[in-house]
Amino acid sequence: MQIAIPSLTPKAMLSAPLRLESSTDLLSASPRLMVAVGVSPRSRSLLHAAKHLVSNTREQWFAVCVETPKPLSAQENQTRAENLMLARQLGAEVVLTSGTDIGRALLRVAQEYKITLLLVGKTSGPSKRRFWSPQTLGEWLHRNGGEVGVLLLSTENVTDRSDRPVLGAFPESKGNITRDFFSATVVVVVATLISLLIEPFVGYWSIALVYLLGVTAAGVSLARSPTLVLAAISGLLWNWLFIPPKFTFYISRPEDLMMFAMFFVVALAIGHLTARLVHREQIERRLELRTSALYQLTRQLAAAATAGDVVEAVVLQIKRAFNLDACVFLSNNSSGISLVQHGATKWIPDSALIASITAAFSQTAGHQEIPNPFTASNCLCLPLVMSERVEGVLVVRLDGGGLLDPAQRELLDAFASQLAIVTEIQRLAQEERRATLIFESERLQKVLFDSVSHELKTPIAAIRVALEQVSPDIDEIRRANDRLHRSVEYLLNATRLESGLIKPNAEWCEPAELVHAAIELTDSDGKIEVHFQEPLPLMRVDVGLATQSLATLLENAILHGAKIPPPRVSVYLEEQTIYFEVSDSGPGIPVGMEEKIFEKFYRLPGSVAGGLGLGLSIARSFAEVQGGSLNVFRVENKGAVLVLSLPLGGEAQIPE
Amino acid sequence: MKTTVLIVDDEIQIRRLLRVVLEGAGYIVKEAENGLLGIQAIASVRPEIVLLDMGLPDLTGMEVLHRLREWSQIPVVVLTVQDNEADKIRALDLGADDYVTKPFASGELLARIRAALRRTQPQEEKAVFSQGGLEVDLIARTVKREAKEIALTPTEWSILALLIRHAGRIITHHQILREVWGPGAEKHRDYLRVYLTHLRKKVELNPARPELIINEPGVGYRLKLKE
Repeated sequence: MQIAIPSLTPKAMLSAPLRLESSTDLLSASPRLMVAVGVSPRSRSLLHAAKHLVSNTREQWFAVCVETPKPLSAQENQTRAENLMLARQLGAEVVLTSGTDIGRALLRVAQEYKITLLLVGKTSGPSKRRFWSPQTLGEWLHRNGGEVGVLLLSTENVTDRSDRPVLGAFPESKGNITRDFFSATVVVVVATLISLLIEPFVGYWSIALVYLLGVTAAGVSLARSPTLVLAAISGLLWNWLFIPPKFTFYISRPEDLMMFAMFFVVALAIGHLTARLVHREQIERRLELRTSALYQLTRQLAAAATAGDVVEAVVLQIKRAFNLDACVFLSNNSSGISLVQHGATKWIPDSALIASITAAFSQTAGHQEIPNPFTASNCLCLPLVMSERVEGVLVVRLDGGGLLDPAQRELLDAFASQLAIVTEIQRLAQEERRATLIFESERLQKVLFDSVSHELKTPIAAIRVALEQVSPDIDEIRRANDRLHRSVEYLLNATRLESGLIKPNAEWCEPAELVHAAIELTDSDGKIEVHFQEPLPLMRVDVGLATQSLATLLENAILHGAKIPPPRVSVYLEEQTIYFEVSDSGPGIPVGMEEKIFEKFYRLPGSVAGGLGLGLSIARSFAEVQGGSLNVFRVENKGAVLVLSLPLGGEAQIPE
Repeated sequence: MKTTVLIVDDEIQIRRLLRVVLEGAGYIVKEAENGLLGIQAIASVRPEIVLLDMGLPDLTGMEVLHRLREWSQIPVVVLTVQDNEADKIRALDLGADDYVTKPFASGELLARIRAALRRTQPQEEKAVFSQGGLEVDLIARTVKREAKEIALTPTEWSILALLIRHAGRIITHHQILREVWGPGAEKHRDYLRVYLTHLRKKVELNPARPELIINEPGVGYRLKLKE
């Protein structure tokens, strides 16, 4: 099954749906997906494609990387580390394995992890391209995959991202190779000298064993190419110096010729085998070191309770594993990042570095755009990315221009991923705690409020019902009871306003209805003059709040105004706002007191007895919570004029 | 035969006073002082109607309602001190028939009880509803105001008929919208408001001071019955 996906640039892939007609059966039952990640930058688009495939499922997916004995160039190492980092950022679980045959290693891992779909680049894996079977890795996998479905993706048109600013290239330790060649030369010279000494006693055939010993010894400690060169030179030297006729490469006797040929093959094989053994041992040791470092880190992270503990654990582990100083910046609440203080190392980045890092990340913290790792004043800065969100930055100080080797870099990336995961978990947990706390305190407030209401209102209800049963001429008691009730209402409303329990519940109503409902709440006996500007539209307000607000104004007008002419309400519309103007013919509000009367518990000097001085303050708050206002208007030759204005709140829709 | 009322309230004073009021109105009164006892009493005493306080010491009134409605359709009038419309709507959605906010007048309470009882004790279906000069013939589908016929649109008629069928009881905005416009229209309270404005203009004597179709702010509407 081959599926052509044209122009798989990461961008195009995320927007355009993949064409997967022939693979619907394979994809229908949410496959367990594994991506083969290699050393080429094309693996990036493979990873993006895989992310796209699994984006609709919550299925775990894997990125596997096979380490082969074949040494990699610095560029390849770098790319591989970047690919694996990207895989982790996209949410894949990274599996590292080693093996000489990439194809077989991939299938082994696929079976281990019960993978149903293996994603491989169409052109990747030149290792399988042999002169006798011109197969690509993909073709081989496709033929031998068995139960594992293999999806080949074309990864052309991927721009080389080598222009990106990254930590400088890691040179493969060239000095070691030179030293190995030097050691190989020494081995040859020593073996030759010994051979020259013992040749008269043992004969020239035994000399072959001395040279083989040298090759084996070299293979154990030297790199592959010096060993192979050593093997070849040893063979030639043996021929030239010891096989008669001496000092020629000519071999006269057939048994000598056979011996020489066999020596050559054996020496080369030994050199090759030992070198491979050593290489594998090295890989395993490295993996073991990596595993134990990661294990220690995760153990410490699991025990860490606060963000400070987490950072301290990571910094300590970096110091232990790499002997490097590090520090961590974490995103803070104000959408920027800041340095986390801790006592793990003495190194504290200088202010210039702090400034440059915070500047680089202040724009991106919490946003989708993920910055790449970069270096600043000899420090490697690794962004901590989780769920496409920047949680912070891990800053590692590189010693005096020293560079990390690829394995170290990869381990550091793994550290950064761990740190990102733990940081995200802690952040989420903290957010949840905060939400719970807010919820709990709101609930507590409501419970308190409800019980206070209950306690206050129950006796009032009792009195009221009792009064209805006795003789009816106890109006005074009833009035007192009503007044007590009103005071309680005011107090409760003031409390509700202060604790933010009031949430306006807007609904459509007629302004006239509001006015009449308000009048009914007062003891006006219908002595209020009402004037409406016709026609008034429907308005969207909290009817309860608006009515109470208006009723307070009317009560004040009745209480403080003269009987004749009676208080007057006029309602009119202006610029999407309904105005309720309540005026009386009383003494009015003294100049300078226009705002004072809205203060809590403030009563104008010399005003009629009764009342808490809460009414107007509450009435204004009730207007304000729904976007309105309540103000004093100054009109010549008139008493107090108070205007309640409430926004229309839109236009009522006429249904079809 | 006398009707039995069960009062579920933890306040002994309220229970005593309610007993006086209800017995004065000719009901048999039973009491329960918390939610669990209340549920047991409903099962054993089999009252015709329940007055349920929302602030009980053991179960909340909501829980009692919820449990009760799993096995019984008995009318329930909720007593509440909260001016919280959301809670009232929740209680109504949970199956309460009506609510009374404390402090309440005894006349109001008795009217609510009578209206709620009407749901389970259907008197003979009256084809004609008449009150305060308004005459609605539910069969002939005619509406007369002071003997003068009024023309209603089909929607206005549906709303009015619905209110009359539930006369005296609260109907939430939600219920009206679902009944008249069908499921899915529950969000369009502005529809309802516009139609009610028109309807009130036609059937009320003074539309700005409605005496028939009463708005219960935040909850719904009630067709007020003259006693």
